[in-house]
Formats: sequence, structure tokens, C-alpha cells
Amino acid sequence: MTTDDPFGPLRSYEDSRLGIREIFLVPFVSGAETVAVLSVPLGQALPFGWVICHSFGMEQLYLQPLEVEVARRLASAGFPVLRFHAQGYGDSALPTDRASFRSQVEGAIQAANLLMESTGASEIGFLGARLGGTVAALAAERIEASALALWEPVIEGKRYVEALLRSGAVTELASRGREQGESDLAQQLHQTGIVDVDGFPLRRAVVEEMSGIDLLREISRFSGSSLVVQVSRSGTERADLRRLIGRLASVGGRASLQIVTHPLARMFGLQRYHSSRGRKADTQGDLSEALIWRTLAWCLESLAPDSIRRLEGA
Amino acid sequence: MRDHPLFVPFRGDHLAAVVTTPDETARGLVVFLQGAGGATRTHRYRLWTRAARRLASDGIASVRMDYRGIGDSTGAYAFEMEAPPVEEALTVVTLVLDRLGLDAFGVVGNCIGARTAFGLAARTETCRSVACILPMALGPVEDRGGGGNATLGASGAKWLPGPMAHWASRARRFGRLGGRPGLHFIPEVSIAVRRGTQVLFLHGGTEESRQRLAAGARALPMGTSGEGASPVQIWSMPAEGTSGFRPLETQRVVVDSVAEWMDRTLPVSAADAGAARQSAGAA
Repeated sequence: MTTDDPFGPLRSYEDSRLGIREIFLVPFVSGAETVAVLSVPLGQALPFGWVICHSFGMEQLYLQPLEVEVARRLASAGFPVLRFHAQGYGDSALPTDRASFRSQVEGAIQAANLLMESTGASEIGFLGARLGGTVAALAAERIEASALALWEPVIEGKRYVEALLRSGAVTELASRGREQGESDLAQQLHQTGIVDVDGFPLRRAVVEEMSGIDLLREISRFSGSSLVVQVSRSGTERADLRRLIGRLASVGGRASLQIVTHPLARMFGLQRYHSSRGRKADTQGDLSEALIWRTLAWCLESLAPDSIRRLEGA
Repeated sequence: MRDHPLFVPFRGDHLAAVVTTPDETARGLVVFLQGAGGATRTHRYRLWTRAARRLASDGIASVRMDYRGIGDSTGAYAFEMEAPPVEEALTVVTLVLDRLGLDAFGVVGNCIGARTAFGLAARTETCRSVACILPMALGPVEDRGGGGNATLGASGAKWLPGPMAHWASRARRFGRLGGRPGLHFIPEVSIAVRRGTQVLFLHGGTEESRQRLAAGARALPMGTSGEGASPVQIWSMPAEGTSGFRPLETQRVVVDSVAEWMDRTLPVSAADAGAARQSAGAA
């Protein structure tokens, strides 16, 4: 904060009901400035901080309310939490077409360093939903973090990219009446180096890097604690998530898979506010609450006892 | 150019906002107001972030804000088109104008943000300019409560049985003689125009809705700044599908149009803005 900043005193606020303070930061991440929010408890913080990693494309916007809420609730439980806009998103300095998966992973690692410097946290966990979960897992792998919380993580990048292109093709058909298959979009991507997927500029280099993601292969040494949450309508366990749990355990970590069942499970990661008679309503409030509750309970059971002991010892 | 994130106290909650300032002294402020469908202060596809940077390169400061219960703001999410968050916007604008030492401002609004923008313009003396983005529908600026040729307000029609409601609605929209009337604006539009606020409608709807909009605009009482170019203008934007800001070309048009409109309608320099402030003070 500089003295010539007319808004400096308004960078933070306190919520005595939740027992937290939130502070806006303008860190340098992945080569340029961006905006981040640090949520900390008003009382003594646990030495365990969380970095929240957002997802890709429009999911970044749709999942943000859930990420804000879990940050505040974790801070209320004693954990410092940092959330930030990766380059190409939100208030970050670089343009949207500079967004890339690898720069999100780099950004998450830099955010972890910032969190440790800002709060004195000695242990770090990464949390993310959908592709943000994949970012979180790879960041945790790279710096040998202590914990991971993944909500519906993307395991295979190739399938995620195919779904993105399919969604773009459906939008083309619905909005312009122009039938355009995934293969047409893929061809356009090859020819021009960029395609418009639901208003989001998807670059060929990003498609190629995301297509190469295989979380089961890329996790090779993470030995911390992991929570993987599946959001399901039926409650049937996803085979790929079970394999992820197996992989996390095989490299030395402690991992658990939990399933949150909800009738709107298919809407997870999609638009949550809908209009009815001139009034907007949040249709996913209880789904968010279930996810947050499961995650908080896991954090307190699995992580906080150790952290609290260390805090008492110090 | 510099970004200043901040939390603005508002009735026990805190509204998150980002002020973008140019390197030089700003010649005016632009406020961005998005819809209530969950878009945060950056808007979908970062439209507001992109426009803020363009404006800063033209010497204009801007503020983009999260409504209560959205983005990084605190509080509960609750929105009704009939009760736009004008007080929230007014609180943020007042604080930012004061901290930057500015008077003149413009406002850009989309969906419920468009209605909020006119509410703000009608409530303040120093709103020079409104850019109202209507990619799909005219609803945000339409007075659905009747008036003009209306025979039954929307709120009354919805209680009638199906066929009757349908014809009541048609009567309300088309008038008693079945002709296509101009758009009947919410009162805040007339108040703002009468007061001298320059208004841009950036329209992406059908030709029919464009004609309604144009007819409604012609019927507006023109204010004191009506010399030369009309204080109310309608520009076109391409829009398609259920989300008005696809494809990428549409986004470019929105950013370019907002930057051009505000460049035209806000003070040409910081000195000009200062002189206007002094003359208002003397008056």
C-alpha cells in the first residue's frame, strides 16, 4: 500500500460476525499484476493456509460464489485463505487470450508463496473445483504441499477440451442456426490458431496443453492429505475419481473420496442464478452449503488437530 | 494506469469495487453496472475490465463494482428488476468521485445495471452521460407498469387466465388500436434526458425492437444540451443467442463503443473538468 493511494484505507474490512478480515492485494503473478483477496481470522490464525484455484473459461465466473463462501468459512474456522485471478481472468492485467492452464498452475504456486509471506503460514493446501481442481493438484504436486481439496476435478484434459468444443458447437447451432461439429471447430482452431467457444477465445496452444493433462500420470510424489468430492445425482461413484484416490494413496498420501448427492448435480459449474417473474434466485445455495460443510469438516478433522498442536507447542 | 481494489461500506455490508485510474489526472469517472445474473464487477468476458483499460488510456478513471451478495461483496443475494440497486451504486460513485476530486461522471449499464444507471442519472446532478447496453431485450428500460396506451400492467395481466392474459398483454404492448407504439421508458430515462444527460442506447435486438426504441427516444423530452447532435443516440451492436455478448466481435464493439461514447461526452481534459467544477461552485 502506498501513501498516495486515495483508496488505501479501504483495502480491507472486518466481519465480526464471522470473525474474519478480508484484504485486497495487488500481487505480481505470472508476469503481471492481478487482484487477490486474503481472508484471515480475526483471532490467531492456524499455521495452515489455503490457496483457492479457479477453473477455466466461464466456469471461473459460475463457481466464484462457492469459492468466496468457502474462503470466508475456512477463515472463520482459523485458516488463512488466498484467492486470486489468474492472468487472463477477472481484474488481472493480461488479456483473456493469454489465459493458459500452465500459467494458472504457476500463478497458484506464486500465490502460495504470497500467502506464506503474508500470514506466516508454514503449511499450504490447494483447493479447486473442476479444472481449478486440476490446477490445485498440479500446484500441490510441484511444491509438495500438505493438503488438497478437489471438487469434481478434471482428470483427463482431452475429455474436458472435447466437452468445451462440443459446447461451442451446440451454442453455434442454437444461436446462429449454423450446424458446426466439434471437428469443424477443431479444424478452425488448426487453421486460425483460435476459436470462439461461447464467447471465450480458446487458443490452439491452450487446447494442446490442456489435452495433454492426465492427472493420474502427473501425480507422482504428492504425499499430503487429500479430499476429493464428487457431486452426483445418483450417488454412484465415478471410476476415474476412484482411480485418482488410488493414485494419491499409492504415492504416499492419505486420500478420501466423498460423494455429495444433489438433484442439480449436473448444474455444478454452470450458471446458478435464474430469473423468475422479474426476480433472480440462487438455485445452488444448498449444493454449495453441502460442499462447504463436507470440506470444512474434513479440514478440521484431518488438518486442524496437527496445526493446533503445533500452534500450542510454539 | 493503476487498479485500486477497495471495499465500500454499505448498510452493514461491504461492496467490493476496483477503481482504475489513468497515469495522468483523470478528466472524468465512468461507473460500470452489469446485470444481476451472477456476473461480477468484471462482467462476462471481462467486458468492464477491458473497457476500463481503454478509458484509462483516454485519461478517464472508472469504477467497476460487485453488487451486494455478488463477487467479493458481502451480504445476501437478492435482485428484482423493479428495485434496482441504485443506492449501492450511488454510495460507490459518491465515494470514488470524492476521493478522486471529480464531479463529472458517466455510467454504463446492462440489464438490471441499465435500469440502475438511469436511476443514478436521475438522482444526481453531475451525471453527464449514460451508455445503456441492450443486447437482446428492451425490458430493462421499459416501463411495464402501463402508461401511454397501456390498458393493463404486466403485474395485473399475470393473474388472468391464459388466453385473457395473452390478449391483455398484447393490448398493453400494442395499444388499443393495435398499432406498434414507441417504447414507453421508465421515468428515470426522461428525467435524465431532461436534465441534460447524454444517452447512448447500444442496441443488439431485432429491427422491430430497434424501431420501438427509436420511436420511444424521439418522444423523450430533450434537455438543455440538445444543441447540435441529438443528446440521445442509438448505435447498433451484433448480438446473438441467449447471452448477448457472444461472439468475440460483439465484445469488441461493446468496448469500442463505450470508450468512444465516454470520450465524446465527458470533459475533454482534467482542466476542463476543473473549470466546470469551479463554475458549478460559483453558480
